[in-house]
Amino acid sequence: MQYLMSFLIAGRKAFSGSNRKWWLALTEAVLAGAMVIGGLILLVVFITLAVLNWSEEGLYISIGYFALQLLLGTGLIVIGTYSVARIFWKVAASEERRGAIVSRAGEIELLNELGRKRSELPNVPSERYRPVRGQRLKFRIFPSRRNVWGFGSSAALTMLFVSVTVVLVLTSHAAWDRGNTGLLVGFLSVPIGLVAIWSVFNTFRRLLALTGVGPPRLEVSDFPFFPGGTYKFHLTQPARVRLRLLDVKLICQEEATFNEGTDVRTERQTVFERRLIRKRGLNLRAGAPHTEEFELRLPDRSMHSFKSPSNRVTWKIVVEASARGWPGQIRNFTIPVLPAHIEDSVPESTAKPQSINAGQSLQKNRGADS
Amino acid sequence: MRSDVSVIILPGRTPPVYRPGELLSCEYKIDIRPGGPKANAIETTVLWQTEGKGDTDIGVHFFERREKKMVQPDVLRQTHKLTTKLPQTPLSYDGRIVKIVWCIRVRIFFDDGGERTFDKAIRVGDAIFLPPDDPGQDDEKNEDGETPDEPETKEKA
Repeated sequence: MQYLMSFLIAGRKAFSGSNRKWWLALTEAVLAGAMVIGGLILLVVFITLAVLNWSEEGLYISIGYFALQLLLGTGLIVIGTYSVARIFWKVAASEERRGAIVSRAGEIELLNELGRKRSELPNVPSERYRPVRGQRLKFRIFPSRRNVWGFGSSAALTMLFVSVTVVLVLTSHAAWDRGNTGLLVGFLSVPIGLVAIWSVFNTFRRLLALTGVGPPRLEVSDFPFFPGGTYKFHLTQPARVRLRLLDVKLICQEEATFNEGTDVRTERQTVFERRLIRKRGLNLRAGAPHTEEFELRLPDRSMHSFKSPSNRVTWKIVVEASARGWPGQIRNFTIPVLPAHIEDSVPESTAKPQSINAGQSLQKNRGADS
Repeated sequence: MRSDVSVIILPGRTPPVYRPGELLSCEYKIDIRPGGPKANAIETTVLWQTEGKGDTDIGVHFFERREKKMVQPDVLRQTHKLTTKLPQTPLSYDGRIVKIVWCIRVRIFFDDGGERTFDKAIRVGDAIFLPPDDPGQDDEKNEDGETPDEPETKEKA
């Protein structure tokens, strides 16, 4: 069944191990999605029937019964959407992001001294999520957010096409009842119905893709980063599928935003790239992620991180994980590179994370996940 | 283009390369020939600006404006000094599509509404991707912000 599902979804044999929790969550997601689509179909059916059968006497059924039908459809949509949103939040927002959001409220400000030092460094951007204490190495840094808009837009399109298909089918059926063939509407409903089926399939596939390869976890021996400095990293890459490729790179990227006519364009160019890890064919199971340790030396005299309204220089560690038949996942860990000359002025104490609260909140968060 | 005005900006060292946080001291002389336009105001700025593909961003680190009574011909002929402590960042950078250029800029406003700008490029820090040639060369811009064919003021290290 598992291989059948993975074959249907991914087109190939992608799963490498079973996971009861994973399949429970998957079933829950499918049921919630089915509730949304079912509620939507019911709602559209009830409204379309009411419009088609409207006569001078009023509705073809009592107002109370019609209201009950609307309530049923709306209720299914609301409950299904809530369930999908809950599952989606669990899978779309990474553990790190949720941890960062949860811990932010009560987090003791980390690296206070460094923060003060940063205020003396104009145009050096601050990291979006502060690092917290790591388990293997001193610091744990956080990746960029996943792109969840694809899933959202796909779900919205699915609802639209399903609604249109239902309306067309009902209209065609009503025309047939009245003695008309309703051929045109009938013919129209076929391609739109096919698109609706495809979009349901696509939305489901996107949801699976978001959960197939987990967010990487990256810990580092020191923070922040300075040109010429050597840093140890510990990478943990969880996945529920067989990874075709795990690629980790350090890049320096320039970004320029400019006006071209009425358009605002942004151009990015990678000016430095160094491959840190490249592994192929990793068989992973849930609960047994791939771990890797590596060392990185930043080039001497390299440019520090820079940000102004239209220009930017960014250093990133890019972790790319791809599985056969699944969309690849790329996560960026933006690392703040400060100018080398201030390295000596950063007090030693700032290199020690005060992660009591942050660590606790992450522990709490992991507990909530499981 | 006005040829009766010249400005010589002399950074405190040759080549004009400074460490971040270092004290920048420079002198400049303004020479307006007899019969030339009368200066109305003078602005002296130490700034960085981005060049390259993106829109230009500017960060002003030091700014001083001298109004009319301070820009009389006899006062102008004197050597003026400028001293400021440079910030820690941003460093000068010559990337592919993003460049950060530091300069000392003298802008003269004239009675007739015209203005002239004189830039003296300096380098802050030693980040790589910098061109191997000496950046210490003045660029003059006319009122439209364009660099004229033959810069009137040139500084060579």
